[in-house]
Amino acid sequence: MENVYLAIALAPLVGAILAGLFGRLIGRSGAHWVTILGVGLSFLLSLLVFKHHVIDGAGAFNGTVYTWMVSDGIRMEVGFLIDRLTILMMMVVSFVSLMVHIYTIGYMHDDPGYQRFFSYIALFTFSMLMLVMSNNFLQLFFGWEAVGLVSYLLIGFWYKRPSAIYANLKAFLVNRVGDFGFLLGIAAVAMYFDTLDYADVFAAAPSMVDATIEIFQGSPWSLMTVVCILLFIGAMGKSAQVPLHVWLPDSMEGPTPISALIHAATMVTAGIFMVARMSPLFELSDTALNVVMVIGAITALFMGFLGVVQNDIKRVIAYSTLSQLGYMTVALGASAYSAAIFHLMTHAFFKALLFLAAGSVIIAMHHEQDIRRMGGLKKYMPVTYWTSLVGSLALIGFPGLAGFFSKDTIIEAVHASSLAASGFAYFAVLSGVFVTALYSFRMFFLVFHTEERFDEHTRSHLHEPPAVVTVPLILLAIPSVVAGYWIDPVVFGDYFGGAIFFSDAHPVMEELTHEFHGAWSFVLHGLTGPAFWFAMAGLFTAWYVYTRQPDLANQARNRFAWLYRVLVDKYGFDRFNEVVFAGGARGVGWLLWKAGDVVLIDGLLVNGSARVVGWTAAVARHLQSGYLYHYAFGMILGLLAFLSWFIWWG
Amino acid sequence: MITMARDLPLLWPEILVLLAGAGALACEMLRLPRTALAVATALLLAATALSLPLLSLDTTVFGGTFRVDALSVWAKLILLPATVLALLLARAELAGSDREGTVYALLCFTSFGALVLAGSGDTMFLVLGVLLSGLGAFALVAYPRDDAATEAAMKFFVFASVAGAVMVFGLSYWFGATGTTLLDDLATPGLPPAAIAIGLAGMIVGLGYKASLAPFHFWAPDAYEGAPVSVAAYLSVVPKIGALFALAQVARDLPPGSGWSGAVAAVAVLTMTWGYLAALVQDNLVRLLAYSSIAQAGYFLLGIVAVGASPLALLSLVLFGAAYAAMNLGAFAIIQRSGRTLESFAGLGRARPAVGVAMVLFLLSLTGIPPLAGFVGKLLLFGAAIDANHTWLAVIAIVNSVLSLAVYLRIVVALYRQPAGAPGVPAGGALVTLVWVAALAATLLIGLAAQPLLAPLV
Amino acid sequence: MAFEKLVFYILAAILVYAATRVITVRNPVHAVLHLVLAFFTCSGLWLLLEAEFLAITLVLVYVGAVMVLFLFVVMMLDINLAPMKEGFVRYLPVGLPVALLMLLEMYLVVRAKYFGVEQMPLPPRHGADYSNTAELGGVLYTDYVYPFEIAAVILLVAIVAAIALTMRRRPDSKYQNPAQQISVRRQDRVRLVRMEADKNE
Repeated sequence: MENVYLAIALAPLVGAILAGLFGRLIGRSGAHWVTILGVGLSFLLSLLVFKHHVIDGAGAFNGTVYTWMVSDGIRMEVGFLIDRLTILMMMVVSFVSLMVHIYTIGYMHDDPGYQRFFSYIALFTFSMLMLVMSNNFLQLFFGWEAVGLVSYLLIGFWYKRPSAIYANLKAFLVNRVGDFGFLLGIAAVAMYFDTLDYADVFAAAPSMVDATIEIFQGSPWSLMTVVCILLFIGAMGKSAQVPLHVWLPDSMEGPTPISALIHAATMVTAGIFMVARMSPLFELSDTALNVVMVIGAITALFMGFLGVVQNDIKRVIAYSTLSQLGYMTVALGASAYSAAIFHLMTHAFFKALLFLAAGSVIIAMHHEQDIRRMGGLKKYMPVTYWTSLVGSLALIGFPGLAGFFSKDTIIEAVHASSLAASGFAYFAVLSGVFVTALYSFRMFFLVFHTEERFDEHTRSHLHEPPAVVTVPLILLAIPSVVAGYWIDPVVFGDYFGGAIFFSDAHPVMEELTHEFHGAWSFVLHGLTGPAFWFAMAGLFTAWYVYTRQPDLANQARNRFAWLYRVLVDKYGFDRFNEVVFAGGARGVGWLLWKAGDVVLIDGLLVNGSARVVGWTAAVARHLQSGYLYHYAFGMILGLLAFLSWFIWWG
Repeated sequence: MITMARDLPLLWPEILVLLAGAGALACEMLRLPRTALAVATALLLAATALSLPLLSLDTTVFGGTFRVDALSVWAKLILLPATVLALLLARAELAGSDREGTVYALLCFTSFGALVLAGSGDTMFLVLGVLLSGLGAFALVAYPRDDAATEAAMKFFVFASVAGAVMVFGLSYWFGATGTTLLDDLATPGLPPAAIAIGLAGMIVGLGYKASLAPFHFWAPDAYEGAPVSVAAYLSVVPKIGALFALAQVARDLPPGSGWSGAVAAVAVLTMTWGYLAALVQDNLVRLLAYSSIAQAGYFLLGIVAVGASPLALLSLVLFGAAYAAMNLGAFAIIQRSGRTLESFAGLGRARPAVGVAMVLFLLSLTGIPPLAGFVGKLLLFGAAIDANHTWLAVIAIVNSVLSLAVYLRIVVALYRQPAGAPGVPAGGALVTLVWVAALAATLLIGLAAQPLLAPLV
Repeated sequence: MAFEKLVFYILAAILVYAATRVITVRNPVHAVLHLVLAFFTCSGLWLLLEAEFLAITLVLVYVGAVMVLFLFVVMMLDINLAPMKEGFVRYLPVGLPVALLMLLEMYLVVRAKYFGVEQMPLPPRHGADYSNTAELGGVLYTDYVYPFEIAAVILLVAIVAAIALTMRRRPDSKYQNPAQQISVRRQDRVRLVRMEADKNE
């Protein structure tokens, strides 16, 4: 099987290299064929691996493919850990990536950077697969950085737009903060565990529970807490948790297929995956779990609110992504790792679907993204309409659809959790359901229903995009409906086996499993739960406010102008960063310039030294090659210094 | 004689290098520059191949004056292929010029000088090596005979003469104090350290100038800028590595407590910092890479500080030497193909993706980004310095690596910037392409196959 | 013994004086001549040390060849001394302390502690049949044959480098092609022209 694993990772890489370096040679269709074949191969082989491990019941594979170097006893290796968690991620990544590849043929049809684009997304697929298949921290970090790199490249894909460059830079800088924490976390692991291999670290972790680390003299902290929080800071950057979330909405400057693939379905979930992978570490620190839960809850609720006031179709979905990532994080904090991963999977399907549908709308509207200038698209774009409906219903957790199962499980898990933060988190995720339904269907109604708010010219060209766009929509709609029924084995069964670890102190999933009696009864139970009614309330509010009483929204906006301002300002995170960080950096820069350059360099060094050694310069002018004298003099001074050193020492 | 029968076969690689130079000269006499190139290349490659069986040896020839040890043999295995690449670069740049074959001959002779340095077991070899690798270099720098080249060569020559004189002067005191020129005898117990102070200081000046260590580096940016790019590429790699290996040979035999490691560490800090700071403000890429190559020389010193104190020292020197040769030659090859200024790189990465990617990889490798060759080399160097209780030095080196990122990223940014005018990207010749592809392959191979390469060495 | 000492001190005094004059005298030709004097006295000192071969070589090579070449060069280059002098004075405030410091440090090393007579055992005296040249040759062609050969290569490289820089083909220079010259035939070069006899006569 080892060769199969290798092939899964390398097939997209080969495609990326062919499309990237020989793009001109193989042409447009050549570029999309090699990359699609590569990613398609990965997907098919992932299915094969699924069959081998899950259906035929082979044990997890943990092996080194290649030893890069051994330094001071720490082995740096490329290796694969193929357990059921990995397999699930591999299938999700390769499937969504394949859909996006196909969709891109239609979406980027007229773009001059066609080959480059395919090369990037295939490269991304490779990096993401390496990330999830890794069996050690080093490779995890490489994959982590590589997906980040491709993400920046793609956000800035349309590099001629200043806003794209700005967004690109912002994503880069914000992620540096997260990566710094992540790197420190890995360094701490390497320092205390003396290995970078997952299995070794996890095996040694329980014996480290009581270990402490003294960063500041006299205040020992629990090692596990420090490590977990540092690692989680990395996850916050990549998975866009408050306050490191600011880059994600701006990343919508990238082409829509990217928003679907990277900024919704796969890369941003890397943080979630990582924490789930590290469950044997996180389970050892209640403090870290509380932090995770609080951050997730804040993100889940407050980012949802922002979706309600956005008018850009992609940004609405972006805030929805932030909010859903918050849900996953809350689940992690509640030790419901399987629920988080399950939500990750269902979210990947329906969010990719929603983004691609939004892209479909954007193409049809000639790159108009403002939902205030849409409306009534239902009759022009039936396929997009129905698939969007499926996606939106799945997102709000309509019973029976994929999102319902995963989200309800998370809410139940938070309810069952006994951590200190669970009370607040339960409130946040429950209210979040209402908000989710509100912004989702606000967008849905404004785009597909209500009166047409665009001009005649647009109307005349309005039609359903070609099959390469609609087929991925339909293919993604299917798992958005049915993936939820997999809940039985994945969340409550023993699908994950040893891949995810629960400590006895957090028996959340056990409790839920007791109450679980099959998917259908789960649906019925859901119909009576508060979450369902919150969602319905949100849906109804959206319907009433935006289709029946459009004035109501305006009145509300005027009445609560301050609230509206706060939301439009996105709670001032951007303003805060602008003033404090950017302004601070500018201030420090100005200070350095003033104090350093003007006073020290110009004043003392340049002018001062000009006076002090002015006569040397005069000598230089008189002699034909004065510089050479300076050189020689420098050499003599060096000689003198060495001579003194050796004599004084000897 | 008995020693001849034993010693001469151990010198086959050197003899072949000499023959390569002589053969190139003979072909030049017949006005056959292409044949000169072919002869020189073939003989250099043969010399490389003949060095391989010597790898396991640790011995000396001619009464201990010349060493055939790991450092010396690895110097051949690194410097001779690097010379071949430089020959090809020179062919691409100087083909059709007058005295073309002489250039190949001088390159071979200069490489011979570098090999003499790397195997020094005697102070005489230090002097001869510095001289031999200098004389040809002056002519190579001055080769275009325009004003810039002549001025560059003139500065180079005068500087080298002063440095060489200081070195010989110092070494004569060394001889006076110890009564021997053999490096082995330095380890004699009871030798007062101060007695060799003048000798050590003079030797650091001479080898420091050759390896362009601060503050003896002043000649390098000027000389590189005036010289043909291929010659600059060559000078930044072959004589430099030769001189650094010679320093390591000296370091092996120094008596403890001579203040050596402190002095070398100080030079390392000065060289790295000065090199990168100066590189930061350059717009001429050749000058920028010149300062970068100065800074990189400082990294070698981390390994030299650790000689004798860490088992990693020699290993790290060899590995970083190979990595540095590959990545620096590669970067210079791309400069030769695309132009000497930052401006001439604008948009290159978009117009020629393969060239752009290669240049980015070379620059990242120079910075020390994993998993490229430069990273592996620097990691080992840091490890060696830490082993030798010079952790502070390793920390400064790491900080400098961060600084270097700013230096190299400027080029990367230029690569992917929109060109101001019409994109006049020149097509590279097949030879230059061959050189950078080979250098890239080496950079990747050393980086990715670190363990398989290291395993037999450790 | 006493006479030897006397000769040594006389030669040493002349050597130091001549060497000092080399760098202080104004006229470059005089400087070169002082250098010649220094070489002569130096070779005298080497004779006292029984290094006859080296002493003779020093005179032959340096005095006979190198210094004569120097004289030619100095005479051909018309060096204006005034600005150099000016530079010297202006450089003095920085140069002098550095030079003095260097001198002090060299004294610290070269003083009697490390380089005194007690530290250096007196070399044994050799008989009349001792050949300095043969001894030198014996070492030079066995243990030191490799550096010796390298020195030869250095000379070769110096020649090659000098030629490569100075002698270039010029478009207007004329070359002989021996092959063409040899293969030339009479009819290529000589044309027989039948001329009418001059009628004017």
